[in-house]
Amino acid sequence: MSPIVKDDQVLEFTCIVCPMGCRLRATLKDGKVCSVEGNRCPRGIVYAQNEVEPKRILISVVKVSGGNLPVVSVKTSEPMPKEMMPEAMRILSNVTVQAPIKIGQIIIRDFLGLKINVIATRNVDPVQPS
Amino acid sequence: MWENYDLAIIGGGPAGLASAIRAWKMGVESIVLLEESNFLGGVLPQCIHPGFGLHYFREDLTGPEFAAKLLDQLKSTGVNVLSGSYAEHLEVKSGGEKEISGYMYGRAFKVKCKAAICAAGCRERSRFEVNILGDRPVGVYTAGEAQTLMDMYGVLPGSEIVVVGSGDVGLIMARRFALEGADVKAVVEVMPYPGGLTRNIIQCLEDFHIPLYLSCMVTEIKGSRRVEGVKIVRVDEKLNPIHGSENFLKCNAVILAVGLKPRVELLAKAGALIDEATGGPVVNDWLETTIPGVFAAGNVLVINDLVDYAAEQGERAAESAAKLIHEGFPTFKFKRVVLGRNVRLIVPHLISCAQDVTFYGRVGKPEENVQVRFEEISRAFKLPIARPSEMFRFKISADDLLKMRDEKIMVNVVKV
Repeated sequence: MSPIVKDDQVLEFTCIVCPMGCRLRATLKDGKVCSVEGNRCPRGIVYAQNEVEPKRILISVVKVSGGNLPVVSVKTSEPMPKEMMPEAMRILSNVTVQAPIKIGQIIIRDFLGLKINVIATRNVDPVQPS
Repeated sequence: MWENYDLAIIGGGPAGLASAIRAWKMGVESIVLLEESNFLGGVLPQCIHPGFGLHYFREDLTGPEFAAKLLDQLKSTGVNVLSGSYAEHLEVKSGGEKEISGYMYGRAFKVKCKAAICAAGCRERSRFEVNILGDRPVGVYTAGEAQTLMDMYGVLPGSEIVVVGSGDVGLIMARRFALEGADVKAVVEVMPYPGGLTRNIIQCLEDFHIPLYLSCMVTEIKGSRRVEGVKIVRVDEKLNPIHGSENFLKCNAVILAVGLKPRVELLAKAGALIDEATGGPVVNDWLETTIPGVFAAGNVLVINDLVDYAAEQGERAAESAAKLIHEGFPTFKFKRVVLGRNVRLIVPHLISCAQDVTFYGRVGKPEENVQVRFEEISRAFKLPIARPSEMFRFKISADDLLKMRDEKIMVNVVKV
C-alpha cells in the first residue's frame, strides 16, 4: 500500500533493509523526503525515500524445459515498483527457458520497460539422457 | 572400511560449508564433509527470497546465490565431500579419537577423526507437536515442504491457504503463495506478538493485505480427502482457548510454520549435554560440546535468525577444531553464563575468558528501550526493541572477560 503523499506530512513506517526493523519517521516537503529520524544506519534514509514510491525486489520461479529441475528461481536485478508486481507475475508465468541455466544469467532483458533485468538465481543442469 | 581424517563435519548446509572452508584455510588438510542429501547448501537452495548475506558477504543475496558463493569457495579446497551419507552414530574412543558411522546410499560407512563439527541443522515441528488434531487429509504441509514444492518444483500447494505460525518461513511463504495467485486467508499466531522479523511482517503480510490473527490457535484440521478448512479459536493470556470464540475458516491447504528444533539426536546419543532453552548442545566459547573435541555450529547449536550467524558459528567451530588438531587444547577453567531477567536463551553457555566471545541470545518477552547487561564485567548493550523473534548478538573482548572474578556471569535484560 503506497502512503498518501502530502506536503509537510510525517510518515511512519518500518525499515526492512535489514532485520533490525528500525521505526522510521520521515518528514515530507514538496512530495520528497526532507528528513528521516529513527534510522540506525544510512540505508534507512534511502529506504525512506524509496518508500514514498515503494519498490521491492521481485522473486519468483519460471518454467524450465529439459532441466534437472522443472523451474528456476529468478529475481529482478533492481527493486521494482510494488504496484507492477501482479503484471510482472503474469508475464513470468508465461515464460519457459531452456536448460542449461547458469546462475546470474539474464532471463528477461529490460523487464516491463523498467531498465532492469530478470536474472536466474540458481544453476539448472540439463537432464541426463537415459 | 575405515577412513581416517583430521576433521569430520556433519552437515553440508551453510554452517557445515563455512566450517569446511575455514578449517581448510586454517591448514587442516584432511577433512571430510558428510551430507545426508544429494546436494549441498542445506535449506538455502529452496530459500529463493533475498535478504541473505548482508553481514557475511556484505551483499544482499538469495538463498541459492549464498549457497553458490560458499560452494565456489569449497571447490578450491581439498575437502572430501561424501554426499548421501547419513551420520547415525558418534563414539569417542579411549585415545580421544572419534568414530562416526552411518549409511551412505544404503551401505554402511565409518570414518575416524581427531575432531568433529556437528552442523546437522534443525527440523520443522509437526502439527502434532502443537496439538492440531482432526483429520489427516491431503494439503497439510510444513512451511519448508511447501517451499520445496513451490520454489524447487513450481507447485502451488493450494488455492486457499491458511498459514499456522508467524515465524519467518511462514511469512515468506504466505507472500510467495499470494504472489503466485493463491488466496492466503490468514496467518494464525498463538502468541500476542508475531514470531517473525518485523521486516517480514511488513513486506510479506502488509504489502499483500494478508490478515495476521494474533492470540489465535488452530485446533483442528477438517477434510475427508482434501483439506476443507480449519477450526480457529481465540486464546487468553495463558494461551488457553476462550470458550465460544470458535470459528471455521475455509481453505484447501494448511501450512505449518510452528517452530524449528535442533537435530541433536546424534550428539545426545553420544552423551552431549543438551540445553533445554536452546534445544541444542551445551557449548563453551570454542563452540565445543560437553564431548571433548566435538563442536557444534549453526541451527543444531541454536536456532538462528540469519544464515550469516550460522556461517559465522561454522567458522568459529572450524577455528577451534584447527587449534585442537594442530596444538591441542590447554585445560580451561570455564565460567558459567547464567540466564537472568527476561533472557530466554544464550550461547555459548561456558566461557574460558581466554578469547573474545560472540554471544547469541533471545529475550523471553517483547520490551522496548532495554539493555542487555553482562553484570560481573559491567558491560551493557542497548536494545531499542527487544523481541523473542529477533536474536541479539554481542561481542565481548577477552580483556573485558578477564576482569571477571566470579565463577559465573549473569546476563539480565533490564529497562533503562
